[in-house]
Amino acid sequence: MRSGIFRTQHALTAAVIAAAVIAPLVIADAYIHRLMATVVLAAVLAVSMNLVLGYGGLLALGHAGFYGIGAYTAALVSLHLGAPFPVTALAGAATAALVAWLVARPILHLRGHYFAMAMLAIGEIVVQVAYNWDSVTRGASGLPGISQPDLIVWTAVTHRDNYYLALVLLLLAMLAVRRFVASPLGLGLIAARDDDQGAASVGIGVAQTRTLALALAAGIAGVAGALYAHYITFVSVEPFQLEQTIALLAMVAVGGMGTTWGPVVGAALLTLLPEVLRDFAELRMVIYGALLMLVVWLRPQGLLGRGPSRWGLKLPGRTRPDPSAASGAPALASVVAAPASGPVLDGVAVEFRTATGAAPARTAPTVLTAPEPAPTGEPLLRVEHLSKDFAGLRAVSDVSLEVAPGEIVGLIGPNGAGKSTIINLISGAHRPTSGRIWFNGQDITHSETSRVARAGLVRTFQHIRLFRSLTVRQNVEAAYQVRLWLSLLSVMTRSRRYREAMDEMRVAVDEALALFGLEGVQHQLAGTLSYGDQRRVEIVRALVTQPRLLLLDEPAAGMNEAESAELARFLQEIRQRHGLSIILVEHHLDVVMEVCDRLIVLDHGTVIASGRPDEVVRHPEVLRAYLGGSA
Amino acid sequence: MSRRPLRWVSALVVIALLVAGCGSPGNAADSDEIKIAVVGPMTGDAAQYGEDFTRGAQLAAEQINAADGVDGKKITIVTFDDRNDTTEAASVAQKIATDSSIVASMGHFTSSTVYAAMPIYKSNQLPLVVISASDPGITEQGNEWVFRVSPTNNLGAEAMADLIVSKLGLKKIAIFYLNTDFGKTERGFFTARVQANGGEIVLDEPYQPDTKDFSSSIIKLKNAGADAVYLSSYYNDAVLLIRQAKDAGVQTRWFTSAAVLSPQFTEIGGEAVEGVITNRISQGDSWDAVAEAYRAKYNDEPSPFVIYAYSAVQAVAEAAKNEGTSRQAIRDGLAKIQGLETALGPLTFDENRQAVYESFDYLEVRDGQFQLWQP
Amino acid sequence: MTLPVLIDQLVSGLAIGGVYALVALGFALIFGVLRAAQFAHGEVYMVVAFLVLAVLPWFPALGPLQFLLVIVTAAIFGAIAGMLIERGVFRPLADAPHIAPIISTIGLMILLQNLVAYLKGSELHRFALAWPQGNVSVGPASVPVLKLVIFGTALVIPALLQVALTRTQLGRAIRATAIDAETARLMGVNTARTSLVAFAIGSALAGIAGVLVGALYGVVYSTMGVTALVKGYAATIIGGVGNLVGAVAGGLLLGLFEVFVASYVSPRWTDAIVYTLLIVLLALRPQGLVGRAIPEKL
Repeated sequence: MRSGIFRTQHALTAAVIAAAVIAPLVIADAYIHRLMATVVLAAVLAVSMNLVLGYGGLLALGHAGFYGIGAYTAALVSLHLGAPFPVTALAGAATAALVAWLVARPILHLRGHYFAMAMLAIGEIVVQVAYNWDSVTRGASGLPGISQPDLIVWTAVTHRDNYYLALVLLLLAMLAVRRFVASPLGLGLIAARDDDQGAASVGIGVAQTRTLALALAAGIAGVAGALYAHYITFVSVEPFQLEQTIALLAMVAVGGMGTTWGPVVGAALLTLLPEVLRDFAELRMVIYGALLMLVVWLRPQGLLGRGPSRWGLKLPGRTRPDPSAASGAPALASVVAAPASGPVLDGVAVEFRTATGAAPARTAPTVLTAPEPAPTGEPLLRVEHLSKDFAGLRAVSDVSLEVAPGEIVGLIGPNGAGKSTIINLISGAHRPTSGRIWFNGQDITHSETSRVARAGLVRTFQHIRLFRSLTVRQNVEAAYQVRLWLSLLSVMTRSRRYREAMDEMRVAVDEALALFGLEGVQHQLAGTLSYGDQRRVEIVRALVTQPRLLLLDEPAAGMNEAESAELARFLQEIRQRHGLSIILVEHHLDVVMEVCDRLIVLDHGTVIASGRPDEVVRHPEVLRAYLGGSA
Repeated sequence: MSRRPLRWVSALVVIALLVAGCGSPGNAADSDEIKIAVVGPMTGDAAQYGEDFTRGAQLAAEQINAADGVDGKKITIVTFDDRNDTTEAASVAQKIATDSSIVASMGHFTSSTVYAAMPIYKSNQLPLVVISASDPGITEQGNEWVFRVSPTNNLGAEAMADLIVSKLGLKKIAIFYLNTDFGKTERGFFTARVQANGGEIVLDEPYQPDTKDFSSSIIKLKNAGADAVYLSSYYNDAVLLIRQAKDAGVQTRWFTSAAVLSPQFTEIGGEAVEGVITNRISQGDSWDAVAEAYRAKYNDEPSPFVIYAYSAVQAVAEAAKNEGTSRQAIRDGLAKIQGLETALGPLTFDENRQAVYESFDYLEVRDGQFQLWQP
Repeated sequence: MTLPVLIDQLVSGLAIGGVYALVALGFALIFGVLRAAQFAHGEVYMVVAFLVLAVLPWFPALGPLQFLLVIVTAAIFGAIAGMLIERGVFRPLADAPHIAPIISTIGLMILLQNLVAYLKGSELHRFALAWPQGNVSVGPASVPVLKLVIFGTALVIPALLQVALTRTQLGRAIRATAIDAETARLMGVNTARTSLVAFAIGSALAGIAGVLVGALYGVVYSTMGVTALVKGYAATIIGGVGNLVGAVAGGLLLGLFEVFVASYVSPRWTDAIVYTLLIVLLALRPQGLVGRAIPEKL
């Protein structure tokens, strides 16, 4: 499957890098060398910003602050201890990453512009501290006399030397970002960008993953800062202000967010543009602003971003896939090739039959191992006196229920009865006003969604929440990571343990996809699938985390009769095979009647009936609620 | 990225580094002109100062060239913009220093930009003449390629402290200072001298660059009971501070650092800055002659920076005449200057290559102009 | 700390806070309706201040009436600028990724800042209104009339806006769009028109803030929009995104904070302290001060 496209891409990459190495040898002009060094340094920063902004979807308006922390730390370590560049760079990176890690904790739960503002504030605080902490930073006077980058055996003296040093740094930064993004951690980061609730629902620690990404990005920016300090030999606050962050933002967006080369292209363009326009003197920044607007207007997704240009203007790289997708080898052939199990788009029924029929020989217990049974006699889930108020309105009132291991419980009731609210409360998406929730002997009343999911209680959503920019396979892999314990170091170094874990994951995901007949569409973007396939992906995604209790919020919504009948059979099948419990919220009564061991009927937030399905449907309260409620 | 290109690249980087180690910078070629770089903020909100530098240097070059130049060689001025930004200053300095046709550079407006650029001039062996940056530390670093014709900021501030406390007998002093190296060092010298003279600092108030609303500082001033206020500010901050204080009903006497000396100060300040007193180094007849020529050419009042720039060109011309037109010769020539007649009056560099200053003139804003004032 | 000093500080804080409030209100209104951050909002404020400065000599000296005239002119200039930006920048990017309008308005910000610097120079330009001048007694303190007028304007205009938004058909349409654009469209609201109007009103508010701050400082200059944007953005966040009352409250609070921290802690550390407080606030109330945590529909 290694097609020519890959070889061409690699050859192109090699050619670009070779050109970058040779160019300054051919052009012997120190001014050009300086420009190139500036471009490459900016590219390092843009690449690190891209990790947070492009892959993480976080408007990191304080990124230049981490650059500054790196520069000041390196400068101080160098001036006071006389340490060589590798030591100061490490110190700069570590300090920047540490600060990012510390400040990220209280603010990473913020969303959108709240997060952006908090980051902007952090960037400003860094600048203000550097500016006013005279005794350490010499305040506005800055720190002069920093040694040139000293690599013990060799010192970068000329602009060309520094350029090469920056180039090495850039390649390392690109490699680090790429390894992170291609790892399950990176998939988790993208998943959280696409849908943070969906990510949390399968146990991805959204805040933890973002903290890691932010710390890594800050660390890279910190090294860049260290190089800047030793290269210019002088540090003051000006280069680390909001303007720098804004420039980086523009570089990443113009180049293409979430692409490997976009930030580099953006950095090159936007750094060189003012130089090219130097002859226009005072008008140059006017032209710069206008060109920035023009580029965004022509290609809102960035020069290397996916999608068409306005007016069909063709620019290079428009069809480049997401690099994370590239790691999964999304060769066109695998998407087009018909899967062995039958036509992909021929309805859910066919696929479910494959799943429920003769189990594929390789269905080893690796994929969906039956969870250990819960301590005997104890219910798996126990909900006690649960209530929830929304702005004074009681949505759920004093609900108590239990689910035994291996039991399928249906939760039914008319619209607005509080079914989804209960699911949201149990799964940790909302906090109850009062009451307690016990799962597997553990109090999870105030646990976050991702911790609940890691404990083995995983939900799906009424409105499908797939990670739209990831492929089907990546959706599943992103969820699989809850079974792994990945350190940033193992991801960066690709340690043997990491590679082994990845091999195991590949096998497990292959099997899970095959089980659901999804291997044929595994390299398609999840958002492009049919509705039924999306539902199945969501269920595979939940199952691959090896849950003990599955909360399914209207899984049959939008399905026809045949499809929902298949679903019913399928649910029984997975229960049988894996012994897990299911809470099923469903409007399709036929499905509920068929699969559920027990029904709980809700109306106006309270339980009005509970028992065996055939009993419950004859219950007078239930009839009244349904007939009266819908009349 | 597969493994192969990486291996490639590492090999290439190694080769490149080996080759890179062999180059060496060239030096000035002989020509019939003496090219001097003038560098400063040509754009941005300090662009006024960059223009002063350029005009002063141009005027000097024209007058010297009209008198047959330096032994027949013409002086040429080339301007560079460092946007008053440290990173840009370092990079422009590199651009200047690697242009082998340039034999001397002058400028960089603030001490920060000079600090950022200084090591580059040294490593490229190009003399730099500082014409405004006033941090005394600049000429105390032992960088033998850096000269300064303008005064350090301790001199003016100390003279002002003597005037206010000793001569005028105003004992309770408030000081506002820009929170930059310039403002902080000036404040340090001023405060020390005020206290030595028996005065008292009743309000010591820093303000951040780009401050436009001085309300909270002015409220403090209102209640400080100061007999006099001293501002370590550039003209734009000083104008706003004085205007806003007067609007708020503050009544006191205002004294400022020499850094406010700019036509903009009186233009924007209008009647609010009437009566403000500042100082500058004493100007002899030579200064007036240059000012006269400047008015004739630009129809504008020259700021001291015009005169410093003018004098810097005179000093470089003198050095070139005595020692030759290579960078090294000009550096050596500058170091030997003793009592050279310049627009500033007699110019002498001390052992740190700092111009020696002794006396000051006092100026008061009267009828929208800075005019000589006798205490 | 004495009472007159306290009053003096309070009035100063409310005056600058009033300017922030107007900027924030405009930013929040635009953000609410378009769900897009207008990063050139501060440049509208700056450009309008320069335009008003250019036409000021033709204004008759009519005391308070002249002031009113200046405010109306600023509002008109601002509204025109806003409509041009909506049509020229935001409309073509309606379907683009969220980052696109941010980058485009950053481009616009750079363009306008440097264009004004090119045309008018980057130095300070004196900006003075004939009215209001002088001081007035407030209790035991004597404070500038100008500051009181600015604060008053910053209260009256949002109040008028609130009335317009609740009492008129168009106002209700704007509010509906702000709450849920998709539903509003389905309900028959002409969202294209509401976003244009929201932009016009939001930018008019920025324009008014621009002349008020010009009068407060006594100068206008080409880079004045940057501070306005950052402070307005912060005020919007403090109040809670999309919450108009919150934006005004956030602006006033920010102004007061700045003056009191500068007065009683340190003018050098004011920004660092104010931003730290902002982070603490966000850590405690992630939805802003006035904003209400709306549980997401799952």
